[in-house]
Amino acid sequence: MLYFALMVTTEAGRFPATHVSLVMRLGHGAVAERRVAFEALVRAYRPAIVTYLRRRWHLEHADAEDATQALLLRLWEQETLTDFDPDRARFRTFLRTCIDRHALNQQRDSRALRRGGGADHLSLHHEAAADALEAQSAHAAAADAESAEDCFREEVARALLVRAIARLRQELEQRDRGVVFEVLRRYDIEPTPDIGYAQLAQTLNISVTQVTNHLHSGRRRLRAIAMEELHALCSNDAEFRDEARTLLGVSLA
Amino acid sequence: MNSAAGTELPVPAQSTTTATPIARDVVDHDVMLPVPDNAALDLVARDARLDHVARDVLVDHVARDVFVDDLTRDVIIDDDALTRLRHAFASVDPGDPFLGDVDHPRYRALDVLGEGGMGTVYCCHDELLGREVAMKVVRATPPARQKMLAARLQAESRILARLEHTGIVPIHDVGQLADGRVFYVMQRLRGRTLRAVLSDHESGRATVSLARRLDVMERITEAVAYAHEQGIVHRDLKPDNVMIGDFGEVHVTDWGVARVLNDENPVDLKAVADDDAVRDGLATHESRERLTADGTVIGTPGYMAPEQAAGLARAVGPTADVFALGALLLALLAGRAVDTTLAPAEQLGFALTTVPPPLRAIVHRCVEYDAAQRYPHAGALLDELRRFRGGDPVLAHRESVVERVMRRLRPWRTALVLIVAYLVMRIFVAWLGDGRNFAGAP
Repeated sequence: MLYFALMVTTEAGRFPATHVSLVMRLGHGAVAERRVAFEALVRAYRPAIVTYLRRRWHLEHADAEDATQALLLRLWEQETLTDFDPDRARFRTFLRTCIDRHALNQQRDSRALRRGGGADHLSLHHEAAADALEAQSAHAAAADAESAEDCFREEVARALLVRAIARLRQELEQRDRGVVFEVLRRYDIEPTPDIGYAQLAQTLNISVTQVTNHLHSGRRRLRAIAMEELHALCSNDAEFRDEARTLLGVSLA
Repeated sequence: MNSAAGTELPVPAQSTTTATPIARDVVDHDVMLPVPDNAALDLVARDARLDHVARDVLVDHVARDVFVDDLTRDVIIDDDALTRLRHAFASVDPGDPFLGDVDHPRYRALDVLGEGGMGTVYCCHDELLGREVAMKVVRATPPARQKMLAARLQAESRILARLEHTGIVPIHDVGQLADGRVFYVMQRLRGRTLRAVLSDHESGRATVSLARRLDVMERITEAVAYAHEQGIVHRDLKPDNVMIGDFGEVHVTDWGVARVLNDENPVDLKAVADDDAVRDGLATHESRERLTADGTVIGTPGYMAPEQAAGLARAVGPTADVFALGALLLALLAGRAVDTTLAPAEQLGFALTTVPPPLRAIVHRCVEYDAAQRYPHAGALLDELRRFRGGDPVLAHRESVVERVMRRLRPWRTALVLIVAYLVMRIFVAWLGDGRNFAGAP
């Protein structure tokens, strides 16, 4: 099944929308299609991977960028992502495992080089990666994985929202409704201390009524866009619902 | 494409000689997609080499993402913002009606009251006067249609402004939203449509007495009679366009297709209706049924006069409203909405079996096929209804001698009953007295 359909709610009400799951396209279709799906996934996850490598593996920014590039290259070369089995794990967890394995490999490489020898690489393929991780000290690994999972989750959510916000801004500016984005930005995204409706209304030279109206419509549209973005990154409906709750705080009925 | 995953990624060799340049770039992987403009995307979308899924992926993701990538650089979300947005998302109920497009400094949208072909009616808070009002806004549509809808809404607002009657919703304000769409503001009605009331009556959830139903009919007719006096024809009277207020008040609503008789500059409703037919996806045959060469078909089956259904625009006058009022009276007397598959006249026989003959005759006169046989305007119908309720003979019905006697005696009904009861009692007492006398006789 290349598609999975679900009811996505937008500002216009409830309507059935069929979206392409990029994750599921990775393992199907012509090379061109897989390539496009891979690139779209890279665009969505790349910022989260870089930040995760910096925070979790304590890499400098440039090193994190290099490591991300190398990781993506290997994922494409080895077609690792085609191994993803939605019945075993969510895609985000699978990807995080790949990142950790890649970072571990790089760490071993650099240690081995300092010692003057080479090191055996662990495969990025999920099964082998999972087995290798399981081989670590069970107790430490559990705590470690939980913390790593939290870290990566927050970065993926952040990257997702950044893209959704950028799309919202583009959409509103094209419709000459930049003021709606300004209200959302100044109230929810980058608020100054003690910001209030009245102050915002005064700053933007609109009424308080308009501030609340704009805030409501901006939030609603942003949520719809974020859900749309998320949908493309999930392999099935169950994963989408789970990720919507975990990443965006949205509980779907 | 500015994705970093672009040029460094390996490129399996494939040749494509027939594909468009953009698609060939993608398929062969020689180079990454350039930043696609609309024309390039169009080429991709029409490229026969790519299956529809690939085209969907390309158009949906590549086009959007390339532009979005640049914009993301300006966006910074810290942990607090992440938490705030999650809370904000959780507070958004996607089931709520979308109110964000009602952008006006004075009115704050609270809810959607209803949606129709022309636009949406919102419940708004008037920040200036501190009260709830109803705001009717035309739908967001392409400019050409927007212009027509705006003209229609403005015509409706002008008509409402002319009609100052307790049975017609008063208009408070007209204007434009920030996005240019026109609106008018009217009194917020609280209550239910006549359709809902009839539905409850039919199901037995809340029965309404015949006297009350006749009272509602009289109020509706009063409002329409007033409009006819002002030279205005409603043209879409039906149970959905009658509101019964919480305190029993009756309002005739939705004057969106009303017509000013002898108007020298009427709104081009044919064009609007034509457009509506296309928008509604009506089949050609149906469109032909609704729109004739003579004019516009506006109305609702079951309540629409034959000349209106035939699209004889010039022939649609007050008598067309009388026809609709007759159908409404039929619905009120039968206690249910009319059967839209049958002409009202065909329903009289079985729907009004227990209704007094004069009332049945009034309905029949209203729904005559020939407009000339109907009451000439709602005022004449109102007089007729008042005559019936006042115990006078109605013009539509020739009484028999018995009916005339019964009608004339009706005001004395209580007194007659009392007199008869008294006489019966006296006879009974006398009979008892005679019995005792006989019993006591030697």
